[in-house]
Amino acid sequence: MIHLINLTKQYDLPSGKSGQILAADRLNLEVPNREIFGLVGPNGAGKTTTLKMICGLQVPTSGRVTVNGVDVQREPEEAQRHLGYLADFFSLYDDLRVWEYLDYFAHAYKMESIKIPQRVDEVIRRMNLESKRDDPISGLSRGMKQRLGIGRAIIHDPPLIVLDEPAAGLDPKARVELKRLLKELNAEGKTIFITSHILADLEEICTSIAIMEKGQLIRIGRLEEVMREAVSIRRIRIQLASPEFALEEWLASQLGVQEPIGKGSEVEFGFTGNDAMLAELVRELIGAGAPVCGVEKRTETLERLYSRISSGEVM
Amino acid sequence: MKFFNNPEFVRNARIQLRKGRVFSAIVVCSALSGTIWASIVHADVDFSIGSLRRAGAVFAFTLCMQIAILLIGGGIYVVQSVHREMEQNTFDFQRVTRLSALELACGKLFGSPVGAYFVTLCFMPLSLVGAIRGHVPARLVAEAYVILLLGSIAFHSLALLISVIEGRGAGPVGILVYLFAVVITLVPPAIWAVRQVSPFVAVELVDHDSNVFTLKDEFFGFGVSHFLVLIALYFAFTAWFLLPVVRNIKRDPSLYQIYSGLQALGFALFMSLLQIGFYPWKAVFFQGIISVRLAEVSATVRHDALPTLPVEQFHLLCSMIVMAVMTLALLRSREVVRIRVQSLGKLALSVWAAAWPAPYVVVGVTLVGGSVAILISHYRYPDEFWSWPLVAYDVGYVVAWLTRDVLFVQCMNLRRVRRPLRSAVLYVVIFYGCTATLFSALDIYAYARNAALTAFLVPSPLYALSPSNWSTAKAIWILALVAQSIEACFFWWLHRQRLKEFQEEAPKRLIAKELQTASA
Repeated sequence: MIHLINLTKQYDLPSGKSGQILAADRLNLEVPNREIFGLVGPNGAGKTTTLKMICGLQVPTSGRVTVNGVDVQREPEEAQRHLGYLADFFSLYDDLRVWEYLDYFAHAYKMESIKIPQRVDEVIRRMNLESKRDDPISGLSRGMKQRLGIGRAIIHDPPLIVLDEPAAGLDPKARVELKRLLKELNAEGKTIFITSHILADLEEICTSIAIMEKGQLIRIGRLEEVMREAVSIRRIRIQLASPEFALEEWLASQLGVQEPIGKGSEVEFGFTGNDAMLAELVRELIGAGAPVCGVEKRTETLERLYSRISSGEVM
Repeated sequence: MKFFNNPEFVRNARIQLRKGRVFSAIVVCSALSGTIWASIVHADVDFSIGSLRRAGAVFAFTLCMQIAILLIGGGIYVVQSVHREMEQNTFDFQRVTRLSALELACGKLFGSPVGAYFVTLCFMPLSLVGAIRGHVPARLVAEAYVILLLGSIAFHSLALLISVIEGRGAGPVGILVYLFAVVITLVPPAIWAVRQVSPFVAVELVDHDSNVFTLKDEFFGFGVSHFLVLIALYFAFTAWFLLPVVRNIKRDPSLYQIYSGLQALGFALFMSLLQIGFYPWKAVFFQGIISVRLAEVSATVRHDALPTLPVEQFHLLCSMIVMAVMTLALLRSREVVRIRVQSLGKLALSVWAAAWPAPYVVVGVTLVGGSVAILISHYRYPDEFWSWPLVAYDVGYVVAWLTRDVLFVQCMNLRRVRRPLRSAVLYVVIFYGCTATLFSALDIYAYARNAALTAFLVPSPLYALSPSNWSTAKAIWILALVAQSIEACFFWWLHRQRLKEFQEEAPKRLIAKELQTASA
């Protein structure tokens, strides 16, 4: 659905500083149809710039973007038929009514006039805004405005929806609704390209992710593959009932144990062995007189994985 | 897409013409109309305008008010139309729709001032009653409104262009520039044989004695109806202002370039055509007795033809201003150069690329200078001094000097500072300010030879170049031209070095050929 070919965007550093920023450094990426693709990265990594180049809002310094096979720079109006975009910070036309706003964009996307009223009502229903249909936008809550923004992005029924930090500023309930909505849209066959700082949310809904830092994609793939790649060494946590036993020293001398880090009566460490070897290790530990009260395999979360990749712990 | 179905027009109409607002506008306009009628028709003051009385004055006053509402009020809305959307972060959503640039531009051009159009319409009853009761001919009324409508569209096109290019954070600058344009056109150009071009000229029609067809301008010595001139100018300027709007409105703002090279040259030549076309050549070079009528007094006076050189130099100065504005519209930004270096590779560093946009200046000044020279040689008083080599020198000098400054500004525009163009122009202004002050203080211009020497740096002595100065210091003048050319070459070389820096700054980037391979 999305194809980035050597996509590069170079900016000047602010005046007074010499050099350039590479907001996107020769990005190559292919996002298949029907994916929910998450782009993760810190502020200034180049996520928004990449999204804007995908939507044709910024011209790349070099490289190409195609959406559904259409070159975004060469055929911008045709490309817009295939994508809907929601920016991170956006405003709506406060003086318009909810239905008027959607009607405006339906016409601007050149939908067939006869189908527009029906489509507007359908999107309003979809976004749970029926009760606000004839209200001015200025009276909507933040969450409602966000839903209306997504409604605008899907009004012309594009196969690709590009969302920049759509959960920013939403309360937990609105975030849950947003995730449900995105899953529904994906189930209907839409491809969703999304950036978010709330990694737990991305982990829940994304099928694939890319981790971006300093303009480069440092990890790309199906979510489970990226996680699996990073978890070649399992993290184990052992908890003792009392701190008298020198657990950290004992573990440090055992085969397969890496970097044990103690915190009170708890020690966390990397373990290269399999489950049977772990069972043997625990048996020996108990045999050595350690008052073991808990053994836990730490599950890698996207958030932890991201922070480990960013810090260089996982390369 | 039908005009009234334009989504941007409809959006603006929905916002500005809500029932409440429409009702308020009708009530306020009705109250004002009643007040105006009563205060003019029943007042003891003599409101006569030409042969019209009272009711005709109501028409004239209402027309003037309608022009002000549409031209100034509507224009301010248009100036804000794109600029405000950029500030509110809604403009990107319009850019990603499937509306073509022309549809979006037209939607904003007619949609943003739709409220002003409505208020103008609200005053139509008063205007028409005034016209009927004042026995203003229907044709005059129609002509006045044609001028009002087409003039407003032309000015709104300018407002839209200002809105597109002013960018974020410009505040009220755009509005001030627009109001300046409105005010400056109120003044009839004194040197040229053309009347006021502002739509406010429509108010003059109210005078029975002069309808638009009796108001004449002179174009290349031929009398042309001012009404037709206005219509042609309004259409032409609407097209020239809409062209860059359509070219840029859906673009990445960091890559805005007002015109392409040829379009900019076309616009500059169009402006020069107006400049030399409306110049009163016959009157300027007439020598003999003319009769003058001032109020009720008639007299005959002797008119001496102007010397040819000042006329030629005046036109070169005008042409220089037009071409300088043209080059400002053509300058390449760092972002544009960076993309060119990436996509074109070494072609972006070629001799031709480093000369940008000087070739357009050379062509423009040469064409205008040549045309002016031909016209002067045709119209001049036979006894006046005329020298083709001197004229050729003048044109060549202006070409070299303008090329030098243009290449300097283009080179400076590629510096990595916050507002490179602004600082480049500031440097130019400081340079000319300092040299002018210094040369004046040293009284250098008083001596022909010394004045010629200053032409190595500044062009001001060119405008006092007389046949005697020329013959006194011919060699120095020619050396000055050579010096200007060398300075231009120096800035061309600097520009090229700057371009090379872009390539060096991006050693990892792929050049066009590699890109094609990668995409294949």
